[in-house]
Amino acid sequence: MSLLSWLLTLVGLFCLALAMADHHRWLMGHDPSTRTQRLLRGIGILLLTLSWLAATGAWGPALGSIAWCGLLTVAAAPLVLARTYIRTGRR
Amino acid sequence: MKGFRQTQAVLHTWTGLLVGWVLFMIFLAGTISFWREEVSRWMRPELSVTSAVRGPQMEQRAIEGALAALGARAPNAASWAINMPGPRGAGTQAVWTERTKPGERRPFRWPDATNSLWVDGNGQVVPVRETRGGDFFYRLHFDLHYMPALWARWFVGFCSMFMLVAIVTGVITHKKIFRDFFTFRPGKGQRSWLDGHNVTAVLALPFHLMITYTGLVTLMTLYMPWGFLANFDNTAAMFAATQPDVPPATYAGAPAPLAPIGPMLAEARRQWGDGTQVNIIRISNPGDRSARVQMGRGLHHTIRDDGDALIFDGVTGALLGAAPSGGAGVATRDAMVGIHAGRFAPITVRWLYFLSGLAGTVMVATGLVMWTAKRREKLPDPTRPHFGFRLVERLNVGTVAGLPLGMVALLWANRVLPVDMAVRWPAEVNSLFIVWGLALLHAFARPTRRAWVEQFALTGILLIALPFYDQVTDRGLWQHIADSDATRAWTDVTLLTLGLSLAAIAHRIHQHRPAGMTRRTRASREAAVAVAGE
Repeated sequence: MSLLSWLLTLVGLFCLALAMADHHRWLMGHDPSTRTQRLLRGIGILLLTLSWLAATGAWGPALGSIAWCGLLTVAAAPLVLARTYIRTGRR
Repeated sequence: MKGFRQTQAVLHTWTGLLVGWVLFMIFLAGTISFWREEVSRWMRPELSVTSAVRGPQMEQRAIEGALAALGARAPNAASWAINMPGPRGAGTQAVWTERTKPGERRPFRWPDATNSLWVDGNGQVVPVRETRGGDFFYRLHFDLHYMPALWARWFVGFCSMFMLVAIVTGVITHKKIFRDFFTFRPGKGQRSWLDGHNVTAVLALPFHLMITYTGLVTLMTLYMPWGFLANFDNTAAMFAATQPDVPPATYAGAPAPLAPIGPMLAEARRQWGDGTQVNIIRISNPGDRSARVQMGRGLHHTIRDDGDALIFDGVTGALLGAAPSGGAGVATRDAMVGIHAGRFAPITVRWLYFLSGLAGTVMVATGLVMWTAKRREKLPDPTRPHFGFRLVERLNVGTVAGLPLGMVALLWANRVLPVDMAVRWPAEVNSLFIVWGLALLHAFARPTRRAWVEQFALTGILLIALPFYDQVTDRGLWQHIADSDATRAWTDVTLLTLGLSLAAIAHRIHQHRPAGMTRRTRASREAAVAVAGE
């Protein structure tokens, strides 16, 4: 469950990142439309909610919520590194 | 609004810088303290994985062994204490306090070779080198060292308040932290430092806010005693309301044997519920008619940091009283302290705590370096910076690189000092501060960039060498894996990883050429390098 929670956090944050113009350009080569942006944000928030549910399922509500905050940090770090060091050939 | 943001920026810069070096130490020591038991195990290699205590039978055997050893070694002590290992620790520590003459006050002493001993999982006494272990880093985090704990706690609280101000003003000042989420642009000078500072700050922002605020809460009765003062006339009345309602027993001077500990343990488990461990047992006036046994509960079952103490009559073994369960206010405070210390945290969550703590440490370090990075471009003459600039630059090296070097020196002292040396743990601790002091001198004596490279490289090499030293002289990584001793094995892997990371940082700084330096003459380049700290 904790691994599932982390994966959901990772994909959720990835969606939220893609909803941002800079990061969308980096991966897709063009700006996201307003509709895409809203859709990605919605999916991202939904996935983060699911990851919180998975964390509380694994650790209980008190410890799960604390762990979820930590998971956010540890899931965002590889995204930052990927964004920095993976070149997509698009700017 | 521009004016407001600028005032916040000024506040952020100066609250951060003024106490930044202390905050770096508090953050680093606190981060290490999440591995308090692991560090203790590493620093006491005599205690193998077989000294761990698992389950009620082993628990009772270890406690009975400790009691027998205490009875043989210190039968006339004023009090005994038995510190049980947690689920991640190993070895049971038995400590005694000698009886003083009436009116005589004995200064407090940490457990050392003259007032404590260790028993293994079978309850047999094992010789163990005298060291503070992970407890030193834990105490350094809020008691500092070489000064009265009370002064230190006021000072640490003062710095923590600055930290809280720096975090809140930081969020206001760096308005782009959310727009630049997931963004790190290396190799762009000041921009990269700002990105690094922002990334480590914003990614672990819930942790930073939580750890700073709850850190202040841990010592709230010291910093803001008025809540207690309004309700209680004095500290004795306050303790009476929060401790078990059992009047203290005065020493009778009439010998009486201690009741068997087994039934008391069983009663404690019944009171606490299944699966909880005893954390500490304190026995006052052992061997006397007035003996009292106090049991504190292990803190692995809840995020609340409450000891839930029980008090037994030492001669009859009857339960005399339990600590009153506090109201919602006490529970809230206990939960905040619990979240701060993370004693409940299972290993996965513990890693999250540790990584978040590292992010905080890097945030403080990048913030400190940024102060110089930002000002270097505006210096009237970059080859001759003013005194304040040079001071900050050198203190940055001596702290951000020098403190880890000192800490590694402590780990080495733990290994190379004679095992049976007298007054051993103070020598270990002194080695940290001596080496840290030398690192500060070195930072002032060498060109800044050379100093960064040399100190990080030395720290990295010394860290990497530690597991190899163990492998050659004692039991190393292979034996830990063969013993299925996950704690020791992971500790060695972590030491290697940290060492390699620091060595890589040193290499990167060494390779780094400030932009536009390549085509100039060697002399001017060296002059520029001398001031290009980062």
